[in-house]
Amino acid sequence: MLLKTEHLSKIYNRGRPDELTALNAVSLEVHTGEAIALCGPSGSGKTTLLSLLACMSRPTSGQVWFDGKSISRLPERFLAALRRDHFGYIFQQFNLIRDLSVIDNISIPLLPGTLSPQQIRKRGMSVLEQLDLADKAKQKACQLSGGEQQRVAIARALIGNPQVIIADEPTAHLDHSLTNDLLNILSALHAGGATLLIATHDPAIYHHPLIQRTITLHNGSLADLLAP
Amino acid sequence: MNRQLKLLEYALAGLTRRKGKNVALLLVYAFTIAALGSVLFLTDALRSEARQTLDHAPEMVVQRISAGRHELIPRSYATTIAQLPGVRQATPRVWGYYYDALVRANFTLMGVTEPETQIKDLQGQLPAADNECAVGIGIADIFGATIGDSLVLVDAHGKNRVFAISGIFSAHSALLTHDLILMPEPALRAFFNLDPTVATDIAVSIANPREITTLAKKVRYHLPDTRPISRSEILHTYDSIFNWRSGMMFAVSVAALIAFCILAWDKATGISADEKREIGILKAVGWNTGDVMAIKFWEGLILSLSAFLIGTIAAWLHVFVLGAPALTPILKGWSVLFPPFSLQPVTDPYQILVLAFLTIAPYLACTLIPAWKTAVTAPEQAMRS
Amino acid sequence: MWRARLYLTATLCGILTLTALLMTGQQPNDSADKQQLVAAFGLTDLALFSEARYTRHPSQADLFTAFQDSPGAIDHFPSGSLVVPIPGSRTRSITVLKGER
Ligand SMILES: Nc1ncnc2c1ncn2[C@@H]1O[C@H](COP(=O)(O)OP(=O)(O)OP(=O)(O)O)[C@@H](O)[C@H]1O
Ligand SMILES: [Mg+2]
Repeated sequence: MLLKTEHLSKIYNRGRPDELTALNAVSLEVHTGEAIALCGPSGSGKTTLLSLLACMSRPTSGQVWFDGKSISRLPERFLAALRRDHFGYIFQQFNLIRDLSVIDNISIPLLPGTLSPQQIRKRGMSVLEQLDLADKAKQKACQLSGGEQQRVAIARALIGNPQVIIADEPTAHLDHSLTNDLLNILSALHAGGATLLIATHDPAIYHHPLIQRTITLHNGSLADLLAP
Repeated sequence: MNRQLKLLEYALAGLTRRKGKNVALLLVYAFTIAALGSVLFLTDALRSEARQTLDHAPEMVVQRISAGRHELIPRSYATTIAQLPGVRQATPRVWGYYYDALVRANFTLMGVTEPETQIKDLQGQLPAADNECAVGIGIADIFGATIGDSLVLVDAHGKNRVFAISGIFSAHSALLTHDLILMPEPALRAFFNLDPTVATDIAVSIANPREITTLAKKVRYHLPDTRPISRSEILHTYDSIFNWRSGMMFAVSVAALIAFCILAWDKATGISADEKREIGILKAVGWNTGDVMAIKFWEGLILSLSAFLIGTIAAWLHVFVLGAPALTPILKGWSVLFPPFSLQPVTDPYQILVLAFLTIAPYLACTLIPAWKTAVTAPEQAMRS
Repeated sequence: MWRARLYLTATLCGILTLTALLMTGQQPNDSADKQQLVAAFGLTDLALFSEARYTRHPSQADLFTAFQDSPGAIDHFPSGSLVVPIPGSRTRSITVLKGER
């Protein structure tokens, strides 16, 4: 088992009038090599759950286990190493650095590592080619269309060959053919042993043969638990 | 090493992205350092000039103090002092001031007793006849006079006296001779209407420098109304005149420091939402806090070190090549006779290091501390800003 | 990497320039003539500020008197503010004898 959560809760603005329980006692398990779709209406807590799984934020209560170890209370430097070595995260809001070029943006995860600048560049260009972005490599991120930015965000998540790919609505800005391209890439990675976790509203994804399991969130809780 | 190079590259790219702001910051910062550095270089050079040249001043000067003021000293005191064992020579000297109402400047008049002395920094001759004088370049310039011209001075009886200029001190020695007018001692006595039994002070030559303090005590013992001033006290005076805490220099430094603090404070408190977001993204894609701090360290160092280098080099050129045109008005005040600076570029490496430390370290701290605060928060939260 | 190289080169040049500038002053210099001049006339002070005795001859002036010499000296000279009081080693201090009258 790769990822596991136990009674995971996230409460925003705790103790203030605008307190909000975004995630309520979620327990789930993700096995190595699984491909999972995470569904649910807007505001149901999908992004919150994903960011907790990828150690981008800390839970209010409950635990996240990665590879058999509880990671929720680990100090920040261990989390940074986890994020770098195991996770590739595609943000819903892209989170690109606006005035940096495409190639520089996607090189960022590799900069502190041991690869030489030339090697980083080569890897970056090959990922960009997969995503049909090679001709935009020198353009600034803020000058790209929504779909292009989304693909840059995907490229940045893939550049480090992560073991777990966490994608937050990766096709929201992509057209039909680009969605297919992405699904092909993800299938190839999955075939190579990667674990996929994809939050989506897109039927093209959760009906795709690649997806082995669907988890549905509702108001911060797992929907199947609420089912009568 | 390679990793640091990559991070440095990233930091530089980051700085060039916010080019306008950073160039402005660099210039303001460099200007502040140049102001501080100029003050430092100027005072250092003046101090070292004083230390070098005045090292040949008389071992001891004896003044008479009367009613708490410097008074004329009886020449007989010189005989008393000369008899003390260890004293090589005690020479009564005559000198004084002359205020010229037209140019509104004080000149220093000094009596010459040995007109045959060869002075390398003098063009022409020392005054030998009673109606001759040698002047500093400042006086020659202010009146547009050259050798052979004459100065008309009003003596103690209110009579005009004509002195032909027999020599002019070279500009090289202006820091010592700028406002000097030398005359034969008898002529100066007559000019000031001084009694032949008195002198302005007594220059004492002492064979063994280690005996100066003891001799000063003896002089005070035998002649209680005198004030002996030793050479080390003269040098000490110049050491303390041009130091950090001295009046106007202090004001300039404080102004510069305040400007710098405002700069640093703005930097420390004003970590922008953009910067926070960037730190959040870097952390989210797997950088650890150390990597983030490394680029922030580079950013701070690039800016502050460059500003320090630019500022210090500019200050050096300003003081030693241009002659400190921006500082002289402050030094000069209403002075009419202000010597041109052709200072020897002597600097104190220790002070430069202190300046480097005082300018680079606080700026680095101001860059690193807020960045560190952001870097240790969860990336998800940092990215939201 | 060109930026990093350029920066490092430029900074190195800057440091070398500064060091070179600072070193020039440490070489032996030409003050022999001036020293002879000082010795010949027994000069005691730099001719920096000729406004008043305590600025023209700070080492010879009284320890406390400002504005004593220059005619028309109605204000403190800016240069006067440069001249800090001489550290007190040679000033005598009044001894206060405490006791009943
Ligand atoms: N940083 C935050 N501070 C306060 N409230 C937040 C924060 N982030 C999310 N929320 C709230 O938590 C709830 C869940 O948000 P989340 O982003 O997880 O939803 P989501 O399922 O990803 O929705 P969508 O499909 O629209 O992306 C929402 O009601 C949102 O308003
Ligand atoms: Mg979301």
